[in-house]
Amino acid sequence: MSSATVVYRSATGTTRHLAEEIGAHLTSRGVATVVQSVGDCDPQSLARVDFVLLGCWTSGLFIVAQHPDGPWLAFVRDMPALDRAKVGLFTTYKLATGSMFARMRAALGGKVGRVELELKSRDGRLSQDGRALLDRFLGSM
Amino acid sequence: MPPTLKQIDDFLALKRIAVVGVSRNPKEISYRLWQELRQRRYDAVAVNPATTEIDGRPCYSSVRDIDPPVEGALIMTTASVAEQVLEECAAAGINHVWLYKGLGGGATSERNVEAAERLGFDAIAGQCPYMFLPGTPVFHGIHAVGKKLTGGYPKAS
Repeated sequence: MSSATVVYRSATGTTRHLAEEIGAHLTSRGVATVVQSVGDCDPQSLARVDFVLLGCWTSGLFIVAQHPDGPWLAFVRDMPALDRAKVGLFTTYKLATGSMFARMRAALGGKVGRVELELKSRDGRLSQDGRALLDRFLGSM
Repeated sequence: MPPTLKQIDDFLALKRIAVVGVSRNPKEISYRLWQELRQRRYDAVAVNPATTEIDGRPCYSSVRDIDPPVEGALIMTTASVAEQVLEECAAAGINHVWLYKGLGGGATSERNVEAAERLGFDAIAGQCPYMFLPGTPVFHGIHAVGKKLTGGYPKAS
């Protein structure tokens, strides 16, 4: 059985909700999945799983300068290089994600070969399109 | 007497902090602040006598029951029960306490500030920790700006 860890940084609970829906979907596809906040997850544990999904709420001035916030960046700084895992990113937002994914990818630096998934949600719900993206993410292993 | 920024920095430099009065309701500020501290890698321990666990984490009925002990306590109860919590903090040997106050009230009252002084705490009376956490969401930043404009923001010393 393959394994996944979904790590989230949530300010109001919306990103946590999305993380839990992502986790439930992965579990429904037969992937042993753990959902943890950046405060609970040991970054080193990510080196041992097949799929890693990293999520953060979109911080910024609503339509400009979107970026992941400090606790998410601190977690990524402590993360080892993920040679084994396929990595995806997700975020929740109010008006626009703008530069969010680009800033998240930049923060990952050389620790990740390629980001295979970028998933976003306004309300923390996982849409049908989001489920299809996740299925492709799993299927392209 | 208003707290100083040094007092606030000292409190936020602690690692193991009790959050007293954590709600089980994710929409409540006490729950959100507890989660926020945990996501910032504080060892934030929930205290609420009405439950034994929140989100799978142990929840204690009193700061006296926490083992190993905490270094500080963020008191987010109503003002009416905060004095008893202060007594319990003193009994538990806690030196740093923060009497929370947000937009909707909190644990601060004249009586509780006097009790904190009597018990010898390095107490922060009033203020919301969100305003002092780096990179805090914009609405908490606005709260801080409002405090600065009205003179309610802590001074350097």
